[in-house]
Amino acid sequence: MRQILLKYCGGCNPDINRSKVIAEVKRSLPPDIELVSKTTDEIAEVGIMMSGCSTTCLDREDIRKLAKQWIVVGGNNVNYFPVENDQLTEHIIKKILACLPPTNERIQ
Amino acid sequence: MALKTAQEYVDSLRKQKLNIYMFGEKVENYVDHPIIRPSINAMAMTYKLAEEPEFEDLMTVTSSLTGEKINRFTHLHQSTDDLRNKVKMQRLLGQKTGCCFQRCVGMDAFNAVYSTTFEIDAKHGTEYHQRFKKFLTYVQQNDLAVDGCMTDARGDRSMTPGQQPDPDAYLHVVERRDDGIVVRGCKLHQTGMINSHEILLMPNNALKDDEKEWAVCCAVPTEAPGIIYVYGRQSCDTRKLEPNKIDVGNINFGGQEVMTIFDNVFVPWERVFMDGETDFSTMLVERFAGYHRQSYGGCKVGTGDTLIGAAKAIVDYNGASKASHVKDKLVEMCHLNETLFSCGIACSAEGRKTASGNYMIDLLLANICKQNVTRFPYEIARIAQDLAGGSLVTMPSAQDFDNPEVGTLVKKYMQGAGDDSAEKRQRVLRLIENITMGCGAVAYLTESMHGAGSPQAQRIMIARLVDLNHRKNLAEKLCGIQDNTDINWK
Repeated sequence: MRQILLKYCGGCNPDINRSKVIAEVKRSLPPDIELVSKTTDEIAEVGIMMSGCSTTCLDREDIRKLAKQWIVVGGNNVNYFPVENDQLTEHIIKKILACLPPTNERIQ
Repeated sequence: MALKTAQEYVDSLRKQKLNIYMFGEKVENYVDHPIIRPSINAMAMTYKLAEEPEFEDLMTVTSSLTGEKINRFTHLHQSTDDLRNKVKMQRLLGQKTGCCFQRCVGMDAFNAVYSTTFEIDAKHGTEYHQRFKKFLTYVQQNDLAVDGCMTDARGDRSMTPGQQPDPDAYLHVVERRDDGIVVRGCKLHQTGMINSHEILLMPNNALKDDEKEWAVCCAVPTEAPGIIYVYGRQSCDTRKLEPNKIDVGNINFGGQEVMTIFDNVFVPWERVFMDGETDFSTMLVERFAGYHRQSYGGCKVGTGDTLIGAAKAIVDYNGASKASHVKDKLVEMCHLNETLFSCGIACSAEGRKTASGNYMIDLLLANICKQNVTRFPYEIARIAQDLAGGSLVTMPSAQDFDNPEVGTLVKKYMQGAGDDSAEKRQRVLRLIENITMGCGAVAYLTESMHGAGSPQAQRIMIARLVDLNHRKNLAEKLCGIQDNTDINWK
């Protein structure tokens, strides 16, 4: 099972429903990828910063060091590029698959 | 040389050959024209303060492009600290000049164009971002003043650019050549235009797919052939032509607005930063407007500080400072002014990084800031006029104060508290008049209303950016319409 570290912002005034978006992402991911929120001593391969608004207050040094690569969600922005609201989930999944390609493709 | 002195700035304007008209006549020496010079002085203050050790921490910064020390007015914001310092710098300049100092609009345009060109290139494979970086490096290294130029003539407001009977109602590309483009149109309300060295043109609004000729962003020198400037009138402007300057109120400083006509102006390709990408016109307009709406949380606050100071002075000179209602009115002025500052700071503190790396304000809070700016300066001005009393609008002219026959009597009856209060009252009443209904009111009041977008423009943005359903869900959970799944304890 491949794991992606999931970190949420505090959620004070979100522009998006963070839990709902993540639930949709989970449903669409390949079965060998799971999202985990608990941090360990090990640095994760990939992480998702799930900030509810464009301020993206999660993107800071202490969070950055928890994973090698990050998918940064800040409201309707993914990696700081604006995304249409109804395409947010799709964009996150694309970014995940770019970081963690399906297993058979990785072998090729 | 990354920093110009104020004198070098003024001298640089003397070398520009601009085609300016005022009162139906061509202006030959605009730098020394008594109506124009106060606005040049205001812009010069942005250079002067950068020279001063006690202000350089706000006024200067290390360039992200060159690593050199530059004026913050040419900077790409690299953090939320930079965004906050921008607002503080603007407040400082407003305090020093008591008017619009005209250089913010270029800084706001730089930051909007920088991030937008990066995203255009990412989608369309163009090379606008590199071109713009080269242009901005030139601006920073020569410490240039740049007019960020957006508002078109707009003709029939019910029609889009492509529907207008006269296509020139919005500035557009009329010719594409091997070496560049030719643009035609007119930009209105251009504050500081003729005090600038360069113009950064941007589209005015959202555009349809078939309106590509209006989707143009480019830079031209202010003295480019084909540009005609027609100076805007301001209330009481000809007082600046009178020998005694007391009746001007703000003796040395003032703002300006210029109608700028682009009559087939050539722009080389290296200075074109958008050409036909209609899908990015909205982004560029919103980002520029957002930065500029943040700006008003600084500059208008600084001018507000001077008006509050003038109100405090007049109540002292009138002998009214101990009245409780007077004290309370001064407190209310401060409360309103600091609320505006809070909005400017808040939208900066909640700013974010863009894909290009520079920082952008929180768009919602910037629009809230500007919405308040459309109102609070009017209330601050109303209270200032309340405290000033009727002499604000009935006081004799400066020439009457100096007249050998009636001058002594005028001073005798204009005296308030203290032997020297007549001239002090005269001067400070004229300053309050300047800011609340004279030349200064152009920037402090009407520009607060319409600059960076009229009030309804902010309300449209607020409606778009606030998630009302999220708030509805909060309420429904509290009153039991929805299950409150947050409660997992017994």
